[in-house]
Amino acid sequence: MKMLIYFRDLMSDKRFSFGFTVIIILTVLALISVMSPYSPVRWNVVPEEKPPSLKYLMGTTSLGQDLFWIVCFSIKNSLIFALTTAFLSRVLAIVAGMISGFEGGIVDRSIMILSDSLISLPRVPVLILVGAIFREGLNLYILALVMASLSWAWDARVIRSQILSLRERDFTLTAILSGSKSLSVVFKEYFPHILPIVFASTLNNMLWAIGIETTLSILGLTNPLIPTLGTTLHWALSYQALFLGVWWWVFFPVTVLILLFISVYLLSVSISEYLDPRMRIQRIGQAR
Amino acid sequence: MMSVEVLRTENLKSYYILDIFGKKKVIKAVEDVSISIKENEIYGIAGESGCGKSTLLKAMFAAVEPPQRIIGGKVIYRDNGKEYDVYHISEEERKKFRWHFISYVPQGSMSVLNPVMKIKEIFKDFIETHTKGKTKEEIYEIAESHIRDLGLPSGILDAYPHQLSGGMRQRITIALATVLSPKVVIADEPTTALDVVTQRGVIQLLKDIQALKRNTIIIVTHDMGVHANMADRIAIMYAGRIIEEASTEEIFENPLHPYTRYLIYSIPKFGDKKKRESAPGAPPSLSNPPSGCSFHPRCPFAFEKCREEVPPLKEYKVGHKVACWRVEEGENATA
Amino acid sequence: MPLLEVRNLTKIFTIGNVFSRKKVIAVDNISFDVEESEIFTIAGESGCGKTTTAKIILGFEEATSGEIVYKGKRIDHIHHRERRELLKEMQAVFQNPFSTFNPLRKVDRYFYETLYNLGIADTKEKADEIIKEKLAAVGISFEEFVEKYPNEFSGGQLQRISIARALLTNPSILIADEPVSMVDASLRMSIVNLFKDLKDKYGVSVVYITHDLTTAYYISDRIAIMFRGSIVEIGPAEKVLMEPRHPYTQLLKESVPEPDPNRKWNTRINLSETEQSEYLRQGCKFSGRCPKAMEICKRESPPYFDVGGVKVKCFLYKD
Ligand SMILES: Nc1ncnc2c1ncn2[C@@H]1O[C@H](COP(=O)(O)OP(=O)(O)O)[C@@H](O)[C@H]1O
Ligand SMILES: Nc1ncnc2c1ncn2[C@@H]1O[C@H](COP(=O)(O)OP(=O)(O)O)[C@@H](O)[C@H]1O
Ligand SMILES: [Mg+2]
Ligand SMILES: [Mg+2]
Repeated sequence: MKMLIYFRDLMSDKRFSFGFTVIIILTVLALISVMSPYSPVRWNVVPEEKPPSLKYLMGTTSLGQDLFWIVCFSIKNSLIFALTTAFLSRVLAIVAGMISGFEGGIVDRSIMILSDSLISLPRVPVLILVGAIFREGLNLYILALVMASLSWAWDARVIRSQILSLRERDFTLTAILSGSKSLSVVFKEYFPHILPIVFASTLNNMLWAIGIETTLSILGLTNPLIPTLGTTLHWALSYQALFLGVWWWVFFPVTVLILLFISVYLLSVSISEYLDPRMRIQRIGQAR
Repeated sequence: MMSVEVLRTENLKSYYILDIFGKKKVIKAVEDVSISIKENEIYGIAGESGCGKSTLLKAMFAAVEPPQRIIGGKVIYRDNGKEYDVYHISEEERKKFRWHFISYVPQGSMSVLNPVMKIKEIFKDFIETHTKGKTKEEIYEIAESHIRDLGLPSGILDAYPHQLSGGMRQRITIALATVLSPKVVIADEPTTALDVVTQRGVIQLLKDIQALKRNTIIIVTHDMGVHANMADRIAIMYAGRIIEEASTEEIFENPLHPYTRYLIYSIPKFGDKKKRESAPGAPPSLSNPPSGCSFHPRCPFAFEKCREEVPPLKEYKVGHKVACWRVEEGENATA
Repeated sequence: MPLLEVRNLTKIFTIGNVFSRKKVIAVDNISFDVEESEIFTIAGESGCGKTTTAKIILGFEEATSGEIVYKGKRIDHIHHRERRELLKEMQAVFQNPFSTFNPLRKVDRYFYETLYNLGIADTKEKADEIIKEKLAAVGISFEEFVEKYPNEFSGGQLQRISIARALLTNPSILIADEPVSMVDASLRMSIVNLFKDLKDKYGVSVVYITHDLTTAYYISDRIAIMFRGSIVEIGPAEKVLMEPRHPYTQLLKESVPEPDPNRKWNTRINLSETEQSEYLRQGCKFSGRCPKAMEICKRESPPYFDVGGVKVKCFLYKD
């Protein structure tokens, strides 16, 4: 019921409704990949290099694959990859940030030293190194795990400083006077304030994950047999698709990538504005 | 003595118009306010928080920023015998009035002094932005003599804001607002966050300025004790409207509006433990104000008419205006 | 035996970093008792150590030295579990009602939590019954209270709700830290009267912290005047406030603006430029501003002198 109201409010924001519609369409494409008549790893299942037509909606590739189905598989894999990365790194950020902020002392200092070193680490070179080490063995889950452990530190810091300032507010004392124990103070009192940070950064983290995956794939540092938006572009580029006039092989994956980026970005902006505590307080009830 | 008007509002209306994710909300913070402020007086405005005092001041200072809007009415400045309708002149002209003719000490301004600048640099910055063609030495000279005139220790010019106490910072913001010798000084709750001793120092300063510069001070506070101590005339504001206005002596001796009476009679005094009561109930919402007189839900004397019609602000005695149906119907007696 | 005893309480804060450390003696060796069914006021200007004292009594802050004794038993340095048990006896009300409750949580949640966590009620029916009773005591109806967020109330309503929450456990003592400072003057008395009722009807003791001497006079039995961490005068409110002896108390009383235009101030005062300088002052901390300061005041810190049942920390009363 409440969710419905939130959703209705959000849909009244054009940025949200656009982003949401695009994401739904992309999700549908990802879902129908299960109906694909061909396996994504098989080559030469259709005639090569046919331009888009009713039969082949997005044309076919030089490898003899139907680009439409390849793109569907790619969306599915890229989305799953982005969500996994974002989810793992958010869990790490919340746990580290909350413990650090609430416990303080030596625990806090150790976590902060760790996060400082992670923040100062140049992430792209590290990922290229990881890619080079694993080579073909680098599947999307391992990559997601590596990326998650590289990207929690900054948000953990933000969450920690938020907790530190919340701890000074009188309602913390009211909660203690109401007999609440530490853990319940953290979850009931602080979590609602942390939520917007987590939400906005989840979407940003997804964007980053898709961007990095694309970069690594185009450079040929991931397993090219797993279709993602990145590996599809990698194949197209290594077959010199543009040079040979097979423009659709580049055009469709790039268009999907751009749409994905824009829509996730718009969702992130709109949701974080909506969840901004100041806005939330105004909206709660019919504010006086 | 004929007193000359320096600023007046005519049926001024100022609302906040908010758009909260598609839901429009209108907060009627100033409704139909007509006040006339004279040269050389201290004019007090009292009322509980959220009744629209700051909104009215911002409208008078002509510093209205969204979501605040002027919905209707006028604000007139009177300078050198000429009248200016502030919302019908260009922004260029309006700027010329700011700080030179009218100045404003916003609520909580003592906590916004730039922490990395010395007080004298803050003065320099301020004077430079609002006047032209003065050398650094001249500016420091102005700041120093102003501080000396106001009886503040001149050593503070070399201090940083955080080195000073809250009361001293508040007095500096007042000194800053008066450095260009404006005819009208607006002070929004200048003593609310301060304790009594510091508050007294700030009031002392405001009175000194008024005596020295012979200007007009408009002071807002909800503390009737502060008003009794400094104001010449007082307006009582409730839910966006002025409901009573009179000279300070008259307001305290003969308050007519039931709300004003609660304000005055609820304050305890030393040597008197008689039971004192606040007005019952809670202040009304300005986005959905009660019908008729907005005080009627809390008023022990409310009758039919109070629920239906808004009482007009009428003069019952020379210089004493009230907006109350009970007074209008002559039942006021002496109670 | 007094209900609450504060013995030689001192709190020193160290501020700054490793390179420049400064010590602030926020509370400087203060002692007082609170009797059963008594309203005891601690009054003084901001920064004099009132909140720090309250926080130490409540166990939110640790004292540098000194003892807090409740019903004959020391309660500083007690275990978590005992501290929770103590919540049933001792509760608090804070200055700003809007920060007392989490703006993103409904206010009634704190009520149910208090009752369930401290084992006062175990069913919703029982809890509702207690909540209704306490809300009635502060003049708020259950219907207008449930399922609402803090910003749906006015400051005055919320402060009364905050008092109702503190009453849920039937405490013997309430620590109220400037409970009316943020409440409009027009609504102040509705809250002050509540504390008086609590004492008169239910025998609750209240430590009423304020900088407003008129409300202190109106409700309190005894009063302590604090200045820069020390209690400078302590005794029955009637005596301390009607014939203040310490020059600081005199100044404080005289500075209360009276709602009477015929009694405007006609003297002038001096203000301190910074708080720091007074905290670090040798001898009597008020000597820098005191109109009656003597040589000795600048050198030595005065002890307490008994003047007609009032203890005054001032050399004027030596002999
Ligand atoms: N920037 C703003 N946006 C929306 N509403 C506001 C804003 N500022 C004030 N209000 C509302 O306008 C009303 C009057 O506020 P204000 O003039 O600040 O009152 P006062 O100064 O008397 O306390 C209040 O209900 C307040 O919530
Ligand atoms: N956590 C803290 N760290 C450092 N100094 C503090 C802290 N809390 C309070 N102080 C200082 O202690 C003094 C007394 O503060 P406080 O007890 O809050 O006074 P009051 O409640 O009377 O206004 C002030 O000078 C304040 O700056
Ligand atoms: Mg205001
Ligand atoms: Mg305090």
